[in-house]
Amino acid sequence: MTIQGKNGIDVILAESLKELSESRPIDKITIKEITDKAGVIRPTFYNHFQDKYELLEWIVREELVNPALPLIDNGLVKEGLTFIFTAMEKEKTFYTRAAKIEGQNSFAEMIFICAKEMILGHMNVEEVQAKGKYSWVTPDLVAEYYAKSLCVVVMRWVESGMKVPANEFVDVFMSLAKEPLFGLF
Amino acid sequence: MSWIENILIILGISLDTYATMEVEGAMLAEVKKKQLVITCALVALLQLIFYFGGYFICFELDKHELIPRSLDIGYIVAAVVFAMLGIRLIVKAIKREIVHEKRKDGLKVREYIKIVVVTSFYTLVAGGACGLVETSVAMMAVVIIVLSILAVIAGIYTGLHFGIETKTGTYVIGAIVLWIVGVEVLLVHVFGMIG
Repeated sequence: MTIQGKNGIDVILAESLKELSESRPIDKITIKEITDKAGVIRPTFYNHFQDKYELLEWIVREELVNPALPLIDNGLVKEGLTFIFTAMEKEKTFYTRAAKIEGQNSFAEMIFICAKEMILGHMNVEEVQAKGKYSWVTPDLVAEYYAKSLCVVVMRWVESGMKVPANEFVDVFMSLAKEPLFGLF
Repeated sequence: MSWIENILIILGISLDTYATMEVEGAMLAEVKKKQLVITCALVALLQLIFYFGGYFICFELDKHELIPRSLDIGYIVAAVVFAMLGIRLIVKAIKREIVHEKRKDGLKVREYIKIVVVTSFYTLVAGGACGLVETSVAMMAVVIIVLSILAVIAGIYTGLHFGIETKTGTYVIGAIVLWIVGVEVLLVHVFGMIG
């Protein structure tokens, strides 16, 4: 299969970053190393991504989020989440390294942004606005609340070495997500 | 000082400029010629201003015999400049400052000018030393312009194509060269031990 065009280079650069992360932290990988492994000249990288963290974000969206969206669009939320967690499990080393990135470009921040977008994109906005007792309870705030929760769960699972199988983890998460907090008391 | 010592003192100062431009080049997707010309001109101009500022201050002080044993002092100052520049480069090599490689739209003067001005302090002192040892003004002007432009162009294109990976090596090699020349200046011109 021939990989052509801008998207083909994106894939090659992504594969290059993933391979390099097998042997060291993502923070220590340089753009020259990524392009050398990909077989392209260094300036090419900047024609596709602003920095390696944007490349990482591209990987998260292309390999985790976007393939799960059709499932979630059709109401198969559990299946969508299972896909995401299973895909991360398959690239365990890479996502474990990614989870160690801290600061402004952290993996946690990327997960949070993607989760929030996904939730906002599928939320029944009218229902949320109707249920919210106060005007400051916006769909954006509600999406942030649930995205934060999902983000903490994902990071906890990755940082613990993904010891719990993906499908089990999704099962438990879905059960807890449906359970109201005060129902646990 | 001999012409090679003059060239080396300016080369040592220009290495810092080279390393600064290497970092700038590492953030570019392409080099815009107009920005490159402006950067070359600005760096060369700053170096000329600081060098000849120091040169003429010390030249005038020497002319009015306000500095005793000016020739010896000039060589000692030159050797000290070599030593300090070398130390500065080694400290930078050891520090291994983490640089976040992120695309920039182009060469922005305000982003590199601070480091170039700090380097120019050494140029000022070097100019002062040269003013005491009666170095040729015309020759030094040419050397400064040529080496400043070369440092900018080499730095930017090295950064563009190779990133910032050669920075540490450049610092170490530069420091060693500067220390060797500093010792040579002291042994030949101050202690008269060689030649």
